Amino acid sequence: MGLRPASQYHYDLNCKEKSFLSNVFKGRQRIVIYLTMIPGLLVFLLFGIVPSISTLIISFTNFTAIPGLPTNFIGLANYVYIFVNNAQGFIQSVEDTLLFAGGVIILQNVLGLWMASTLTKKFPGVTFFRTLVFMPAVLGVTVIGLMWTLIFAPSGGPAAELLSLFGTSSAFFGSTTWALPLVIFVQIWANLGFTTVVFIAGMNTVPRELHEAAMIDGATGWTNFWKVTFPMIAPSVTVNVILAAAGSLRTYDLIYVLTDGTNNTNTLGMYMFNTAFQGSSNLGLGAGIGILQFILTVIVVLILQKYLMRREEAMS
Amino acid sequence: MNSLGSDFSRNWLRLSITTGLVVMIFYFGPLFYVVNISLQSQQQFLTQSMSLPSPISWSNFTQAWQEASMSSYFMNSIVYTVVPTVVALVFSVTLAFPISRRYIKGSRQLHALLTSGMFFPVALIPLFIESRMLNLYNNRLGYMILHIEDAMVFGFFLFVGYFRTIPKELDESAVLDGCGYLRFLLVIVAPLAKPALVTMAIYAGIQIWNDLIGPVVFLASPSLYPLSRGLFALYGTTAGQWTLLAAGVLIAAAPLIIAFLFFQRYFIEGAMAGAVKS
Repeated sequence: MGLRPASQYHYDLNCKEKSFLSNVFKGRQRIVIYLTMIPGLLVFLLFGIVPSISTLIISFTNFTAIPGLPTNFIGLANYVYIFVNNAQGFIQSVEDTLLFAGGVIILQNVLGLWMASTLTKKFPGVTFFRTLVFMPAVLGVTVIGLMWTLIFAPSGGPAAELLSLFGTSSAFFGSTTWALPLVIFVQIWANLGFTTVVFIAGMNTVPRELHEAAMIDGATGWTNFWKVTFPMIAPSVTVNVILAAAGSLRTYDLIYVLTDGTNNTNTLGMYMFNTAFQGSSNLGLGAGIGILQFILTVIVVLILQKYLMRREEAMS
Repeated sequence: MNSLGSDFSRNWLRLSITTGLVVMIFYFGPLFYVVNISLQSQQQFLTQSMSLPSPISWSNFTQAWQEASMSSYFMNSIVYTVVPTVVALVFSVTLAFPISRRYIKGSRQLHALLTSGMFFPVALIPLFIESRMLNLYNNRLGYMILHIEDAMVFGFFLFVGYFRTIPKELDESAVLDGCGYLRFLLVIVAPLAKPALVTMAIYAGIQIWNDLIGPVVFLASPSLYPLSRGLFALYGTTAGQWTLLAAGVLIAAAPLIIAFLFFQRYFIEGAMAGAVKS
């Protein structure tokens, strides 16, 4: 292969010979380099590293947000409370979390595939539709949450008007049956644009000749999609499933706006937030729930990742 | 072959029309509905919420603007967004450049550590305790400081890769010409890395602007609220006055929609880069 040019050598992260390269800046300028790194590193240490490791420590205390109360180490008492005293609430919360995440992961990817496979075609207005689907990504949870609160207003809203045509009504976010499906719907609505963009990027890498060859062999639109496109975009599927899983298992800000965790939407994130910052403001207990949420997220994501990687290998 | 081809495209045509309809109903529809009722009077909403506003009434907007002190929320949001974004931008450049060049000892370890920052578990509770201890709770400066880290780690991740595309020969010639490090970053590196800098600023800025949990946890006084929190407070105080809330939602959404139309490309790039984070 010959020698690599020297300049390329410098940018190779995998080169093992040197841990750092000769600095072209000398003397005073080198001190400036170090000095300008200090504030960023300080911020990272103070607001990145320290909080991340202290959640676990806080979960062994009875820290509250109410000033004046003494803080003590109470061992595993918070976990005992979660698993024993409040076992029912905890199981319900895990159930809500898994239903919410499961619904989001599956439907967001199915709808994303559908959106991407049609929005990669050329037809009038396709750019406009793409823009429209991606727009919620900038709107933020408050605007999105309140917009759908208006749509699903129990009286006078368009959803209620539609139901009244069929002679029924619903409390929507106030209903124990409908709150969770509707929260899943809004979560997907907000993130579908991103999933779609990732799929579109994947589909654009599939060579046109493959589709043409498949068509000559008699594959119709549907078979063409399943046998050609879908296996070819396996990496995009992996990315989207993992991101939807990690996101939906942790998020709670949209749920906070829509239902505040009432009516079977008390996911672990919501449970953590309300325990720590509302009512008794029990920060220690909240941290314990946060740790359990983190463990659940890691387990689910690792399982999915293992399965998806194996699937990718089988397809290639 | 020919018939197969047309069959293929007819299928896709049908699917495309369905997609268009679904997108219009679910993505354009809600926006249209909110605009529609925001222009209705409360009386009209109670009787004919589904018809077009007649007469068009702007009173919801003036009322929402005054009642919810939107102007002060707006000012807060702008300050809260611009200051931490700019500070994080500067910090992430000064961190990412020497590390991407491996100009300092331990660059590789620092690179791994700072990148892993993207995957740290959400540490809201310790941050809250820290904010109390460090006097960052319920004040503007503290709220801004608390938002630097997140944006900085994202910027670092984006820039480390990007700086590698800037040839090292430029560093050498800058030194030969007697150009100092900071001037070199400002005059040579920043213009070359502009696309990455803009992507970071747009993406991080919109994340901070839209943050709702942050102000709920770290701010207690309504006079300090940003727009996201202020709008949520409006929802709490105007129970049932849907036309008023609709106007509030639009006031908050308008700058975001405008920003999106202008910076869509950067925003999508930022979202793709930030994907690993969420």
